[in-house]
Amino acid sequence: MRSFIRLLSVVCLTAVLTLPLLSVADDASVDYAADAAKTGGDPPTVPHRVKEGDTGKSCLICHEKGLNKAPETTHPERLDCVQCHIQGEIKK
Amino acid sequence: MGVTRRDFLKASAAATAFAAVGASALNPLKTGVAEAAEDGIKWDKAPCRYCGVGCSVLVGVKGGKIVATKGDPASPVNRGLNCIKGYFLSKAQYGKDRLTTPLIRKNGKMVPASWDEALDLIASKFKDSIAKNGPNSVAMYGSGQWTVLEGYTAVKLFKGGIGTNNVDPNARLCMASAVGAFMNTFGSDEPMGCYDDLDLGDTYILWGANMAEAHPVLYSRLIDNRLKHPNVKIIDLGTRWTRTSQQADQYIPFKPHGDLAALNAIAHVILRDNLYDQAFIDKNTVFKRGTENAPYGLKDKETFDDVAKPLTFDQYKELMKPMTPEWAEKICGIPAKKLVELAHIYGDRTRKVNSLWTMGVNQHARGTWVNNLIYNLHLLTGKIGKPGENPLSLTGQPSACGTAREVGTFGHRLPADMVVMNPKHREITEKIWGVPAGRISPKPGPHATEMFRAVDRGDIKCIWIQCTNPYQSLPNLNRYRKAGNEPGTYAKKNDAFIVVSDIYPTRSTEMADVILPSSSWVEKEGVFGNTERRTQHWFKMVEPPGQAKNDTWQVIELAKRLGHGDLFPYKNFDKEMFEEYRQFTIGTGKDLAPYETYYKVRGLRWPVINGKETRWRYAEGHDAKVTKGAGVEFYKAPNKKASIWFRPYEPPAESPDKDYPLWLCTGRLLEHWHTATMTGRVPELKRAMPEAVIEIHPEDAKGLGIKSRDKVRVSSRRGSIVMTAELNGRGKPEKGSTFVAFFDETKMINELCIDAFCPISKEPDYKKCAIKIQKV
Repeated sequence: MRSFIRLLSVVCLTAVLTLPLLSVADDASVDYAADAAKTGGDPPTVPHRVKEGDTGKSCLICHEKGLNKAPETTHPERLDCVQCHIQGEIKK
Repeated sequence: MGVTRRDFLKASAAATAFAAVGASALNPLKTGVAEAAEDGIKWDKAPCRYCGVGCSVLVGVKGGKIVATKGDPASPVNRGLNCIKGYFLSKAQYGKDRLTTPLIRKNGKMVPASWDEALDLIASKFKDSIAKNGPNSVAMYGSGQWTVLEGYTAVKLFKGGIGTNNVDPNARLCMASAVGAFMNTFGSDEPMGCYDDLDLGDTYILWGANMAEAHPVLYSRLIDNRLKHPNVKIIDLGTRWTRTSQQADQYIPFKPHGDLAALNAIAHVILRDNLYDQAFIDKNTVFKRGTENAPYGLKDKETFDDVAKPLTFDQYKELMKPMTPEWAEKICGIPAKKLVELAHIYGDRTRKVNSLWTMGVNQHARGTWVNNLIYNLHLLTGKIGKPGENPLSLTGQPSACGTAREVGTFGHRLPADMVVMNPKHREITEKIWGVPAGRISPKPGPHATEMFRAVDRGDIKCIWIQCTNPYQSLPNLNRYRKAGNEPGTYAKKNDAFIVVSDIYPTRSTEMADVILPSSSWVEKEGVFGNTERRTQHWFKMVEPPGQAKNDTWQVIELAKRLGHGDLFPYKNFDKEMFEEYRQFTIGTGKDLAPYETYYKVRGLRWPVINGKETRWRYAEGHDAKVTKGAGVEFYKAPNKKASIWFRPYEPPAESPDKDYPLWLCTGRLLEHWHTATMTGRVPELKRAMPEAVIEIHPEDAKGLGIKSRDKVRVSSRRGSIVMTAELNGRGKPEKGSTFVAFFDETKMINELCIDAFCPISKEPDYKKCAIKIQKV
């Protein structure tokens, strides 16, 4: 029984100790380069006409799976597309 | 081994929260993103230069230049996301016409000068004026975009050196009503909740706030919460349909100024239908009534006192009796049934209700009252001071909290909620500043509108403007500047000596006698404080261009020339000055951490007690100052009781009539920050939103023979401009209303706005005046 509890403690502690590597603690790493490498680049502007009211579901029609040669989004859970992807020079 | 189940659950929750939104932030984009891997880029953190959300940004510097910025994945605020303005921060400071040398107006032309020449001139003008007309003849107009120490330097020189309280910030134009209500309700400024409430609540009621465009990253957090928890409801109450409305669960339109009626009716129903928490009310609140039939600030030098009279709960209920939903419907246009429904949402014990607001409520001729009324709903129902349910006053500027409000850069203020009118507060301040007793004047300085009226009248002879653009952003602009001049041409029409410190030419620099080139953002070390009390630090990362200098250096150079250099004896300037300022906060419940603590963290929410930040003020278990067993305790309020204010409905300052039959509302949009001096110089942002248009309801347009994209003349009693009409624009105003964003320096819509303001806060009402439109 004792050895089981010891084992359980070790397993739990290991699990807990690995979690801070994933968690956003306020004493987060000051390796800013590593943080910068984790996150994406600039959101591209939109090369086709964006009608007012287009965002989220209407964009995902093409961009969720990459229909009609549209680039597939890496972040389908971000639903207010036009917050970052603004109207650019219209090419198509 | 001592790993408790509680710790485990906490750790798991933290991991999940990060993984949920930030997961994709961890996956590098597949296509062509070389920046992160590029050699030679040095990365560091800074809070974003723009709004009061306070996203953290990673700034990449190479060859002495900012070459890239990224949303900071380690920030609990934005978790790797920025809005599009933030994503283009690397371009904002590199416009071609950056100011790089001091300029002095000689024979009508701006001539380059040395710093000494410019500063000597400014000092001589200030000295002369102080000698001839007294210290109250000079003034400083500052900014919620000042860093903490820029604000502190100005306040220390003017209030502690020169001996005038003539310092007021542009935050008077955006957050003063919120501050007024924080003070008269809770006895202390700034929210009790934090952004964690955006993840933990299930009901979000937005009052006149277009969050999708003005606080985009926070709106994304709400959308994300709803994605994970389908019972989450976002209810958008506004005078105009916006992107926020589109993504909300409900859009409830109301007539301009009608919030004052609607909020009262909701409180009426909460009382009528027994939706209030009697125990909470008994323990934590008192009832009050203030001065009514209040003025609108339209006369110069108008004074007003909000005199409080105590009420019993029964007296309050009696006063609330006439404010029925049917009464409110006539005023605000929201159906009575809907108001009842909203009251039942606020009173629903199974729901964690949050209210969110900014300019619709604050830039209001009764703005402090509207803030009070929103707090009333939370105080009556006890939905306050608890994780996941709070009223959250959203801040507009990056450091209106951290600088203007916390340092006290207002005419009546001192740091840490103190006021110049209180002798004890003056004494505390004089001691920390090491200035003689009696140095600080007990006479409050003028608020922003009055300050510029005083300049106009000739009562203020010298004014220094830093980091803001009042000659585009004040209401009723034609009082203060020549009407109709081209941008860049001289526009001054008074005899005051005007100094403007900025980074680009603006509609204010064209009023100046001296223009001083300033450092911007990461061209200097700094600290900002955001909406949720999070103080964030950044280091200097690049040199400013040409001869541009910090605003703090500029003010200290004036101080030296005025004989007050001894106020700034610091060797390690930023650290020593911050530690001096920090003394004001210790023990007040607004405690800041030691300066170096902020170097490594993504900010900390004050009060910081023993190194631990505070997420919820006044809440037991979260706020160290709360008495054990007290639950929720408003320990900064007199007798620890928050005030529920009875506030009546009073009409707007100006309403449409037969001569000027339409409402004009002004505001912001996503692509541009304030007067677009920075964002307007970012090519992508300028292309996406090149000019301001007037949004008109199609039926109103039809009646005037106006089609979309027609040129129209828009006029109020105060001014008139020509611009493009838009019938199918981004926002859809209700019939009888129009909307113009104020960013465009060629369409100075504030010429039309009325300089009426809330009598308590002195914050102008930019949301309501009467206009007419004619096809050109």
